[in-house]
Amino acid sequence: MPVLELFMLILVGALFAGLAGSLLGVGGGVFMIPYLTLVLGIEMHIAISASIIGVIATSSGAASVYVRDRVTNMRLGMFLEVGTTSGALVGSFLALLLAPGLLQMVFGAILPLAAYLMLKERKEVDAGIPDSTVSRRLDISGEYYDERDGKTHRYVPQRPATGFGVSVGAGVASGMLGVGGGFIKVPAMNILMRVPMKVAVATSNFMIGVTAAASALVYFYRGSVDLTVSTAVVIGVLFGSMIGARSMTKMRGLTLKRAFAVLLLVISIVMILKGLGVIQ
Amino acid sequence: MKEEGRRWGAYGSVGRILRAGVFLSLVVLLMGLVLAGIGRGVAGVPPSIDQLPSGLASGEAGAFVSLGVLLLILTPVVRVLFTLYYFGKERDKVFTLLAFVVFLNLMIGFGLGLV
Repeated sequence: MPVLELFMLILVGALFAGLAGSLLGVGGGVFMIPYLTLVLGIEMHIAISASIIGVIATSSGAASVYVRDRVTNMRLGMFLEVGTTSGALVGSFLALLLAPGLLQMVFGAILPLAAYLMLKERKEVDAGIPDSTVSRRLDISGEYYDERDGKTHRYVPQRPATGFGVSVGAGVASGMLGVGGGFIKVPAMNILMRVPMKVAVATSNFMIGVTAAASALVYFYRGSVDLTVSTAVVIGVLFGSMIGARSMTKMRGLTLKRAFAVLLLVISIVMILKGLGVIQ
Repeated sequence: MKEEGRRWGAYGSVGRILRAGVFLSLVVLLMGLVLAGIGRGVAGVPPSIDQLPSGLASGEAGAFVSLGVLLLILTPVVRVLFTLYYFGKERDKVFTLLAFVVFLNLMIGFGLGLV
């Protein structure tokens, strides 16, 4: 395929991945990797490193807005990103050791989890839960202003040790598969740690950039980065997610989320079959 | 007021660092694309660190695109360095240590990439 044609195809795909990602509240990675490998036939390692670089762009862009609006809990994020960056190092190193087919199977196997977590009920958190000792030591309780009711809400993150453990796992998935891992971190913070949904999304975004940077640094001089593919992905997902953020019609509709969940399941089966070599 | 400053003091700078990093990287990437468009080379495998300055000086597309991607990767690294400085200045021992460990992880990643 001529370089320009490939570039344009990736650019358009990345635009849609970024748009879908920001509307659904997941990163573009879960759509980007299947598109690059299944549709365009790009090698798995090249796709992973390009996707992880795209992830840095979208998460840093979104994180800057959340930080400015003081929704992010920076202390909580800094605590958990010790776990995510450690996991990312392990994940990216594993990815370099594993064969592309095996990585494709692992990616396929994790997609049903992403689909399930995307559909799962979010918890509204009530204040007034007693502080845990570790949370108090770390001083990670927080507050945020919600423009929907015009009030400032206080919250105290629970189970910091469990949250830290899940963050390590999310980091491994991120470094190994080239995704942001927000689909793991957001429910973990919201459901396990009882952090309000808005804060969980903002804080997850804050951590994703540095997590992805840890594995991108591993990939960059390892010959698995293709600059044409990476540039097209970065520019595509960045503009896609900007359009998504601006359109303001956040998809609350469960129907659309269900449709995307079914799509993820289909992609999962195709990825696994392809990894096994059943289909070409 | 002191409590307020301690909690939110780093937020403004962190937001600006992230925005500036993404913007700068995008500008350099687009310059690289323009250079590729006018036939100043194609972007493939990143040039090594020591080849980067000469590539930039002679206006090669690959060098510019490579710098753009590097700026993007370095954006969160600069953010971590800033929080390391900020919490150190605040004498917050626990969070200075946490920021340091994250920075160490990033440097290990860089080291793993080079060997």
